[in-house]
Amino acid sequence: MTTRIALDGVGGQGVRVIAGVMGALLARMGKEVTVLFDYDSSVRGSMSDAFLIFDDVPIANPVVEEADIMLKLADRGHLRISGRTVVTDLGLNVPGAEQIPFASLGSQHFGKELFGNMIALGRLLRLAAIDFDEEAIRESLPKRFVEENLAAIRFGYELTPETIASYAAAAPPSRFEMKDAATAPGGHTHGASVGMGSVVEAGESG
Amino acid sequence: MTRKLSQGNEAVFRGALAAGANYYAGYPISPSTEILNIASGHAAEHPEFGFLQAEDEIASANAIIGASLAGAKSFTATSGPGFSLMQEAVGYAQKVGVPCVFVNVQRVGPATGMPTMPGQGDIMQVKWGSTGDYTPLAFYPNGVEEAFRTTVAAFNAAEESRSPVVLLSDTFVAHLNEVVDLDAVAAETQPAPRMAPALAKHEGDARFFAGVLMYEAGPNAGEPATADADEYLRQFYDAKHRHLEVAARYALYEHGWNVEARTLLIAYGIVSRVAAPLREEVALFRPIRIHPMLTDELRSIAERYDEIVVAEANDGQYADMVELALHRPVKRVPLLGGRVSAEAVRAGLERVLAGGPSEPPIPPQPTEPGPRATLGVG
Repeated sequence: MTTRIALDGVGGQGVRVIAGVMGALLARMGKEVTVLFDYDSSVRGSMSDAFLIFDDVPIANPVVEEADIMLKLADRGHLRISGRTVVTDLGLNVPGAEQIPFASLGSQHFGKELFGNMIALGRLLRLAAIDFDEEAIRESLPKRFVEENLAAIRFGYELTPETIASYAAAAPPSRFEMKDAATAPGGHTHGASVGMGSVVEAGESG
Repeated sequence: MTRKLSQGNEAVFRGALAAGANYYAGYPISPSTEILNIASGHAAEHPEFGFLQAEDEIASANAIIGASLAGAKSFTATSGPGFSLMQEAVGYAQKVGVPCVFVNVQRVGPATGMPTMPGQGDIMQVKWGSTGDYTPLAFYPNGVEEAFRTTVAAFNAAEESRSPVVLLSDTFVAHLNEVVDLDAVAAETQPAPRMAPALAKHEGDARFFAGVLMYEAGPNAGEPATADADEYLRQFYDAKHRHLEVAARYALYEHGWNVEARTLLIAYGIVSRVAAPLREEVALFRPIRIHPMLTDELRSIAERYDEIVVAEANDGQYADMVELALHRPVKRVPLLGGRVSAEAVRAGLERVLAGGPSEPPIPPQPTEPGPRATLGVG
């Protein structure tokens, strides 16, 4: 069965890291996977999307145009596709979406807002019905902050609709957006357009 | 040997290594930069691999030519704007017969354009970008494993034809990650031996490298031939025939999907991947060897179909070539501005098959600031 996942965010949030770790994990589990990054040429603050598809057979079209699961860490409105299940950061106004306060959960439980991206990854794994294989996840993670990231992924994986509702009710209405992204007009900053290799590592403050 | 998630640009570099590449020069430009990054990391660990981050694309192109003339298997990677700067060097390498590989990871132009968006606007630049007549070879993969294989093909064809060969790619092929076992592919790779001897080892058999027409053999060998049409013809057709002969060994294409359909969709690179949801409705012809045109192959396939539609991320560059090759009208679906999606292909296909224009409906200027449009149907 084909599972199509779209991740929508802005540069600096870790969209690339979430998709990269999840793709590596699924590959390790023997799945066919495509991960495609779609981003604007500014490094921070402008659109950064990822399309992840996994299946038991090779995947033809790597672009997700109708998502089974869509994760929105920001919503600039540019990703004009629909999602059957939509998960957003708290405060994003997407009708019918499950809202999780990723930033404040990252900050409260792991000391940094950016761990919210690993909490989001955990939630994605749960929604995509992927078994929590600790060893495989550990090997798929970037080499820094492995234990912290693993714990944050587990935290996200173990969330339930009930705990999500109570965390959401208690959380401040902050968004999981990088501060420079949130303050720059239009979320646009002029960074270098080169150096795709230097993605922000998971759990590393940008 | 393990299957792992690998990126298109990474596969190009690894394919180059498997083909025997030992020199890289380049200047960073999205969406090709990973190739330069990986090359620099490789060179740091393997001193026998030559690496130069040059001051610009002009220097990069000339550096790989110099390395090739000195005996290396050399390559560079860039995108459309950089490839424009390299055109003088491309023509020189064609004239002098320098085997090397130019990787062009296309984005949306002209000029700086949309630096990270997928485009295919350099099909004609590859064919006619430099001055004068020449017969370029170019390949264009549509996935990660094929990026590896066609890179090897490009290096081998460069040696066999003694010419600069272009490997085309695009933002999405370059940044696509797929699960592949590149070690296994590498194990079955057969690199061509170095065929053009290095200048320094070329005693007794003069090699001319000024780029100006010289008598290379016969009683006038070593003299300028700058006003001799006979010598021009000898050299031009010698190179042309050699390139075509080599190209015939690499007549790479795919003909598939619903081959019984009445419409043949022609698409290459990433467009052939995103168009896959149309697999029940149309047949696909996907050229992998973009230049020289696969004229004979396409003619014999196209005659089975009532309609020929070319979907490409440019304003009909390959469609023009198809029309010339087939001597029949073809319909065009241009996917411009980076909007490379199945929805856009489907909408365009329905529009042109119903007799409508190739030009998509143009959205009105918004009245308020708002989100920028990328993928989707628009």
